[in-house]
Amino acid sequence: MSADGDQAPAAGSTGKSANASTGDFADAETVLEADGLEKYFSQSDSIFDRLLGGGGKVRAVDGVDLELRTGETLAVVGESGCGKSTLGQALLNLHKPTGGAVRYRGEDITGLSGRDMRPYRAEIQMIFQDPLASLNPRQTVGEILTAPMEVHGIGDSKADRRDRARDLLERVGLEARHVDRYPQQFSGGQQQRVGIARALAVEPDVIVADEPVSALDVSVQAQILQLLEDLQAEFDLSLLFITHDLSVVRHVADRVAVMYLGEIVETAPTDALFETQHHPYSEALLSAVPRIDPDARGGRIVLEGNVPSPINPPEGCRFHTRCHRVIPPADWEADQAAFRRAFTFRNRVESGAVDPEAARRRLEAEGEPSDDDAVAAHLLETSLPGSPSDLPSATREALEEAADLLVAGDEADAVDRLASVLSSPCQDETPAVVEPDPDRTAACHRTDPDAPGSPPADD
Amino acid sequence: MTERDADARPEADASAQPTDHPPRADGGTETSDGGVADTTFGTRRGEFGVGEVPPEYETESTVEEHRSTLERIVRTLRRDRLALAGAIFVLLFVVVAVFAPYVAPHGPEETFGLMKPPLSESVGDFDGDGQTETVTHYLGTDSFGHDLLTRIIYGARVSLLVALATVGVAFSIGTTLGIVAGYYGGWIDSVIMRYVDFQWAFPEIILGVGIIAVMGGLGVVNVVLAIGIAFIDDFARIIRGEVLSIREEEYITAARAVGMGDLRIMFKEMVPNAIAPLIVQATLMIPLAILAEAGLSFLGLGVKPTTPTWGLLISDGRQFISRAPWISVIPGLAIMLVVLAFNTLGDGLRDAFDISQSEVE
Amino acid sequence: MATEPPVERPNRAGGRDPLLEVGGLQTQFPVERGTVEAVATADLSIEPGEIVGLVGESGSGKSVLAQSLMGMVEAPGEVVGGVVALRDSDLVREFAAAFPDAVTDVSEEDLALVRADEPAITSDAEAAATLAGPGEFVFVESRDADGDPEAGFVDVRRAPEAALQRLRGGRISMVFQDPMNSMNPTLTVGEQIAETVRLHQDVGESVSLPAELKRKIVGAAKNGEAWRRAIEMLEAVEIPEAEARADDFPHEFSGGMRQRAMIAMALSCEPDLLIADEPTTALDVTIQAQILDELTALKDAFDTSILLITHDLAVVAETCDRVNVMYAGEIVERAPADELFANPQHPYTQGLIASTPRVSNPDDEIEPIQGNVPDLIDVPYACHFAPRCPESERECFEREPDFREVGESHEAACLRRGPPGDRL
Repeated sequence: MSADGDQAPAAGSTGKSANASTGDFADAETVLEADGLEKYFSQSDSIFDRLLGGGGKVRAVDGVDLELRTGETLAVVGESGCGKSTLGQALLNLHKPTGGAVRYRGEDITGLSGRDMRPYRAEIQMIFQDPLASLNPRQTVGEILTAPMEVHGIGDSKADRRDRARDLLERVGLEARHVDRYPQQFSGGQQQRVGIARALAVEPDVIVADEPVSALDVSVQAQILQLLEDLQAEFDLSLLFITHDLSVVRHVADRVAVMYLGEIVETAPTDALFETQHHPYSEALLSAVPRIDPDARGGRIVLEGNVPSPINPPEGCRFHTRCHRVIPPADWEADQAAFRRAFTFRNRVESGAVDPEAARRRLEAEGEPSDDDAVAAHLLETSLPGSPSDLPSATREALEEAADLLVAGDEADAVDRLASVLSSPCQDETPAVVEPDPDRTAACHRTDPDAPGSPPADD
Repeated sequence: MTERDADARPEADASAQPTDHPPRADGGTETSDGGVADTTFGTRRGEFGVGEVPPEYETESTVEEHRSTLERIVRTLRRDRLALAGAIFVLLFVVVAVFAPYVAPHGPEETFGLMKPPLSESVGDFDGDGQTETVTHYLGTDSFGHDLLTRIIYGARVSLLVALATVGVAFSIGTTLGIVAGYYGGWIDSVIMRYVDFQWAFPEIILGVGIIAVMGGLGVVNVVLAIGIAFIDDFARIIRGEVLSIREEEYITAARAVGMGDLRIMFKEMVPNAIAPLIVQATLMIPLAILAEAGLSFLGLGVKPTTPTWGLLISDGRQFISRAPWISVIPGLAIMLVVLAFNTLGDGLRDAFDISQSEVE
Repeated sequence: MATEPPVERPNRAGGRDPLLEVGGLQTQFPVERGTVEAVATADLSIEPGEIVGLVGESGSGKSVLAQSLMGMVEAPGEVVGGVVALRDSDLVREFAAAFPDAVTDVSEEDLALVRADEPAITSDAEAAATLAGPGEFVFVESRDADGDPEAGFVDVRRAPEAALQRLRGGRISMVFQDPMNSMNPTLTVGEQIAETVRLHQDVGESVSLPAELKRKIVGAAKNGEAWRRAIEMLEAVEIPEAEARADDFPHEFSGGMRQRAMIAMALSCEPDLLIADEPTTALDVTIQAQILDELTALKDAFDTSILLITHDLAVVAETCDRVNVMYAGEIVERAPADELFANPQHPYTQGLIASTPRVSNPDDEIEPIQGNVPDLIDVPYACHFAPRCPESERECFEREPDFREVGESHEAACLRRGPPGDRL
């Protein structure tokens, strides 16, 4: 590989268009690998919290297995707070992992300190989301580009490094004479080109791109995506592309890893994933993407509620609080949708969101009866989606009793009462990662043939 | 997609076109029928392709000029009259101090009539040539008969020297401590900052007196060290605060990602971004150092009693304050004016360094 | 601005009077190097019950246009021309009574005279506005037998601050991109909505300063009408356990819930027009889907028109009835949403669509528009897109593009489009 670009691109590395559909990367060598990678942040660093053992841990990345293969583009996709950016930074050792391992071409680089990590920094580079923020405002583009070369001993002299910087600028579609400009003098897209040039300055094998086009306008975004694709082919780069945008994923990625609350729930070749989803979260995520073409719009799956806190993630499958395909217990007598509704009530009670006092105040303010029974009925009405009438009678009774218990101030008993009738294997057991199809993984009880509780036939 | 809300922000550099995708070769001729359904972007080409503009519409490159720090300072001084006045006075002060022997009307040790009021005259043979001269004392003379204007001019020398050296000492030690504390955090930060808190709790002059007592003896070096150490905390605090916020900037993460070492990140990436408030602080500390030196001299803990300094002048005049008030009052006024000038200049510089203020017009 | 003879405006084909009619709006920001024309000239109309999209990239001026509609352009920016007509008979009666000195009557004959004089003016509101005396902003077009105003409009652009305050949050309200920045962090969500209700609706609760302070210190009475209305609004935007959540502070809400609360606040006074400026840009895609569904449902429930401002073509395609495409301070194309995306005409719109990645057809290569959005300081050429346009001719730089009919209710401001005879 050479920054002068006088070498022809290696055969067979022509980016996604050539390889994606044929899944050529299944046999490619692994270049960067995460093995059970964990990154927990303690919520507070203050001495009091440490003494009292308070301040939970934010489990930003919680046991991630991932492999990036030579020459491929692997997209890590997920919503904000799912830990995808932390994963990227932990892979680069910018956050010291709290567990698991990172390997570069088989060598363990987990938590290496500055000096030991330096040789690997020349191989694994990063592109950031906010191009302006990632460029030092007091340095010229030339200084920004030559600094990594100085650190890694690339180039013979100052003048040589400056020439290389000018070459790099041209390589990313800027002009060599811009070398003395400051970052603020460029437009957003041009700034991102500078950020890409900096990553290329040390001639890396791997680039971790964290939302590289999210801050850019659509028309400029397309320019940058095209540039990345060209450069990948030219330098035979392996690209880890972190993004929230599935439309972009579809265009750039060879494989996709879908992340939810610190875990990877599904991996698959891009085309296969957009064809079928083995995890309900992937399914919901894909269905929520707005589409320009009316024909492409399908039924939108609207997920319940919000993403739970990564400090105290849900037991079992982390997605069970929002999953539209949550599995009812084997003896459930109604349909799955009814279970989902009743289960939502349980989740709300457990999370402490249901407040009988506020309900009572409201009924009083509206001049409605506000005795215990009325409040309990009101709670059931507002916190249970839909009507209780089509739930099995045993469940209905349990919900009513739980509402009464809540009004009586007995929250713990209410939670127990609900748990007795509304249990799901999704909450009770953590789903195993299975391989439903070649080169695909998913962590969902519905995909796992050995999972507890047979999925009902109604879906 | 996070679009900035500053929707109307003028985009920089409209003229520089990316060159990685040159305009295609002429791909089509003009079609006059051109059905409405022709929606493929960029297939039909007009006389001027992408990025081509008729010559008369060529505009100058509209790149927003990058303003160097010096340019910013000049702009600020042009707008802010008070800061400009401060700057001129500071410049005057420096010139007078540096060229004291050429500026001063007499030698610092020459004596004339005792305690002459301002604008009075001494008559006598002062240069020893056997002839009687008449000398005008614009600011009067002190109790030893020294010309006050001359003493103040020579005093400016000492004051400036002491102030600059003092601030230099405080700046270098304080900045290093603050950067290290802010960058590493943890126990290093705790230790350094507890020391800084400790020092902060003492009035500077008392700390200075203590340090001089420990070092023993008078002299310029001791005064400089004493006041310099007493000023460390201010610089340490300011730069630690700056470093703490810069540490979170993405360009620092980027610097770590390319493999830069700690020292390089601290001094090449962080300091240039943190320097502005320090320079402002330094200009504000110089008058404080002048005051501190004057204070120590006044207390008899400063430089040698025969050296002309503003503090000693005030101190000497103290016992004659009712008979000859000008001996104390005029050096006091000089101190006040210099302090004021440095302060207005410092405020002006603060505005000049504030990027957000000068770029949003 | 158009120099051609006026074309029949397809936008008003429905026959209903538009609720909002913006004509020739111009907003400028003086800067050191000249004047930024953030909105060069914009014409826009919104009918009752419609969701109209305004789509453009950053620097297109779409947010400044929105601020201009609310009279909220930040200094030193200034709306220097045009008319922002809010048409509603109740509104005209209310404002005619409140600001009797600001009323001006315009007759059909007056308008005809103006049109004859200035063929460039195509809208009634724009024509009427030329007849306004100083300080006049309430235009009465007809009166009933008692002499009460029957039809007419209020020109937001000419309205003084007192009138604007009455309009904002009442008749026109706004939802912003980042709800955290537009909510007061020290007040509970319920209290903030209740405050809006108290300000704009007569619920018998004082809005005087002492009463406000008392509520802030002691906490609002939880049995007041305004508070009850706040809870109802939170329920309307489907926040679960609304009565408990109303007591929460904004930071205790997730991003999606905050945006719902913001929408609840904006709708609490049943505005005629809701301006939503990038309402889902800061949100995750699953939450975005919820909010967009919510907006569409609420539009019907509250009989509100919505102006949806966004950079996201797909959001516009899914949500809006009609779409305006904006580029570098000018609206360049407008059409019903389905028509626009099936048959884009302006070269910019075509380029924008071609550069947008889509989940559905991966085989379409995305094609960037080359170059960057121009500096809007004193743009020397006529069509602002010309330098980036693959089809530009010399005349594109010299002659202002006028709107040409290019399809069913579909116009584009491009000299190279329209009926073959007019086409360059």
